[in-house]
Amino acid sequence: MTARMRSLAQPAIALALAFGVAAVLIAATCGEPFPRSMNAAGESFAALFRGAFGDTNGLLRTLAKSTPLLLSGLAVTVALRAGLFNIGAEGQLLVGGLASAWAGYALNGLPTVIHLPVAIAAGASAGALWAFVPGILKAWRGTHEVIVTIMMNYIAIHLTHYLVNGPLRDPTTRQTATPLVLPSARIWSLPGSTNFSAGLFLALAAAVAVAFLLRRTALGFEIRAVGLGPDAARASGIPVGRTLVTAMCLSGALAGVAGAVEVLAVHHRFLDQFSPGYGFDSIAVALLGGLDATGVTLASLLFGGLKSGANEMYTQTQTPVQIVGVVQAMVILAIGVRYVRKRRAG
Amino acid sequence: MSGAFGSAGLLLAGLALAAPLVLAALGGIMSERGGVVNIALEGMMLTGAFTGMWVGQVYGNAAGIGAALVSGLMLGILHYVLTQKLRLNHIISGVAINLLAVNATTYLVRAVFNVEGREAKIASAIPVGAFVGLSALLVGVLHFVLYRTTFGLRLRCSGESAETARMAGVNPFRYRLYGLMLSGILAASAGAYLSMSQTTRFSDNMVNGRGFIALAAVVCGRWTPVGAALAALAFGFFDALQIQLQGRVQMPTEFLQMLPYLFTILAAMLLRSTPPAALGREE
Repeated sequence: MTARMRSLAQPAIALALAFGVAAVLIAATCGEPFPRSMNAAGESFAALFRGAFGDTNGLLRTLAKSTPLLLSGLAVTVALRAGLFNIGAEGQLLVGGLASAWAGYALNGLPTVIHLPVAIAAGASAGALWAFVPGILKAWRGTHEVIVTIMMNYIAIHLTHYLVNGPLRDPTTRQTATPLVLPSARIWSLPGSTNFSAGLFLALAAAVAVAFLLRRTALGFEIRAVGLGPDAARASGIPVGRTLVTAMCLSGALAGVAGAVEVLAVHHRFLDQFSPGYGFDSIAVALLGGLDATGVTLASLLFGGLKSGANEMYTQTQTPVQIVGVVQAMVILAIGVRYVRKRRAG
Repeated sequence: MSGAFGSAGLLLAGLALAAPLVLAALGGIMSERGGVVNIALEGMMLTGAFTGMWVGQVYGNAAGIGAALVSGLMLGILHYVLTQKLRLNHIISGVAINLLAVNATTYLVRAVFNVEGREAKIASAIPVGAFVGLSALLVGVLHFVLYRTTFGLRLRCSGESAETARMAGVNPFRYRLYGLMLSGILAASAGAYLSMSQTTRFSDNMVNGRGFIALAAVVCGRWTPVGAALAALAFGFFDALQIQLQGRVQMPTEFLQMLPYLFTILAAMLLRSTPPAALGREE
C-alpha cells in the first residue's frame, strides 16, 4: 500500500469501527429482536446523513457547525504539533467569545472595517492570554500542560459565568447574556435558522494560514522540531521554551477566534454556556484530521455534519443525539492508536 | 448557638462532599504510582454512578454497588490495554474514555429509561456514613499497601522506572494492570456514592468535574494517599463552606468556586519534581 492510500484508509477504518460500535449500541437499546434491530441502526444513520448533507439547508447547517470545529481543531493541531496537549480549547473559546462580545457592544461609533477586526482580535487575544498561562508554566517550570489547561477550563467557566451574570449582564433580557453586539461588529450571516455565516471563510483562511505556518515558515519548522523531540531541538539551537509558549498562544488565539465567530456571527451576544463542548470535540477533529490543515478541514466537515444531522435523526427515529458523541469517542481511540504508531515509525 | 450547629453541620457536609473526592483520588494514585496518567477518573466515576443506579434499581443496592465496581474494573482494563498494549498516548485514551462515558450514559438514560417511562433512580439511599467511613479506612489501607507491602513496592517501582523493575524481575505491565484495576474500582465507587448515597438518582453528567478535582487532589497531595486525602478534604470543606456562604457574603461565589483550580495550578507549579518518574512515558 502506498503512503497516500494508507493515509486515507486508516481514517476510513476508524470511522467504520466507530459507526459499528454506535450501531451495536442503537441495536441493543431499540427494543427489537436481532435482525430487525440492525435496521433501526441503519435508519438512524440514514436520517443522520440526510439531515447533515441531504438538502441545501442541511448542508448550510453542517457548514455552520463545522466553523467553530475547524478553528478549534486547528488550535489543538498547532499545539499538538509542538507536542503540547491543549485540553483547554473550551476555556480559551469561552474567554475569547466573551472578550469579542464586550468589544462588540462596548466600543461605539466605529466603522465595520475597524470594529469587526477589533472584536475578532479581542477574542484572539483573550484566548491567547488564557493559553499563555499553561504555555509559560510548561516552559518555565515544566508543569504538565494537561493539568493546567483542565484547571483553566473550569476557571474560564466560572469567570465568564460571573461576568455575564454581573458586570457585563444585559439587564433588559431574561437570558444570562451580554448586551447585543452592535451591527458594525457582526459577521455577515444568512437570514434564517441555518446559522451559516462568513465565519466559515475566516476559518478556511485560518486553515490556509496554519498550513503555511507549519510547512513554510521558520516558526513552523521549530514547532514541528520541538514536537518531535525537545532535546534534539534544543541541541540544534532551537529556543524550545519560547517555541512552546508561542505555539500555545497561537493555539489559544485560534480557539479564541472560534468563540468570537460564534458570538459575532451566530448569537450576536455572549450567552452563558453557549458552547456545546466545541473545545472538547476539537481534540477528535484534530486527531481524525491527522494534525494537518487539509485533514482537519475535512474532519471538521464530517463532525459538523454529525452535529447538524443529529437533531434530524432524533426527530425522525427518536435515537438520542448523544450517539454522535459515542462515534467521536471511538474515532479518537481508533485514530489515536494509529497516530502514535505513525509517530513512532516516523 | 446557631454558630455551633453551623460548624458541626459544615463539618458533616464537608465530609460528605469530600468522600467521593477521596475515593477517586486514591484511584488516581493507584494508577499514577504505577506510571499511567489517569484523566479518565471522571469517566470511570460517571460510569460507576450510572451502572450502580441501573443495576441497583432492578436487583437492589448491593448488586448495584457490585455492578458499579465491575464497570470501573472494565474501564481500568480498557485504559490498560489502550495505553500499555496498544501504546496509545495516556491523555488521548483518557479523553476518549471520558467522552465515551458521558455520551454513552446520557444516551442510555434517554434510550432506555425515558423511552420506557422509568425514572433513573433507586428505591433507597445507602447511608452516607458508610462511604465516609470506607474512604477514611481506605486511606490507611492504601498507605500501608503502597509503603509496607511487596505489591506496593513493585507498583511504585513500575512507576519510577520500568527498566529497574524489569531488572529486579518484576513485570511492570502486570503491576500497572493491577493498579489500573484498583483505580477503576475506586473511581467507580466514588461515582456510585453520588447516585446511590448522596442522592438516589442518576442525572446527566452528574460527576460534573469531580474526577478532575480528584486528579487535582492527587497532584496537590504529591501522589501519596494521606496527602491526596487531605487535599480532597480541603476541597470538600471548601465546597461546603462555599455552599453555606452563598447569598450571605458580598464576594461572588464564582470566585470561591475558582479557588480549588487556582490552588491546583499553584501546587502543580511548585511541586514539579514529585510525579513518579516514568509517569506517562511510552516505552
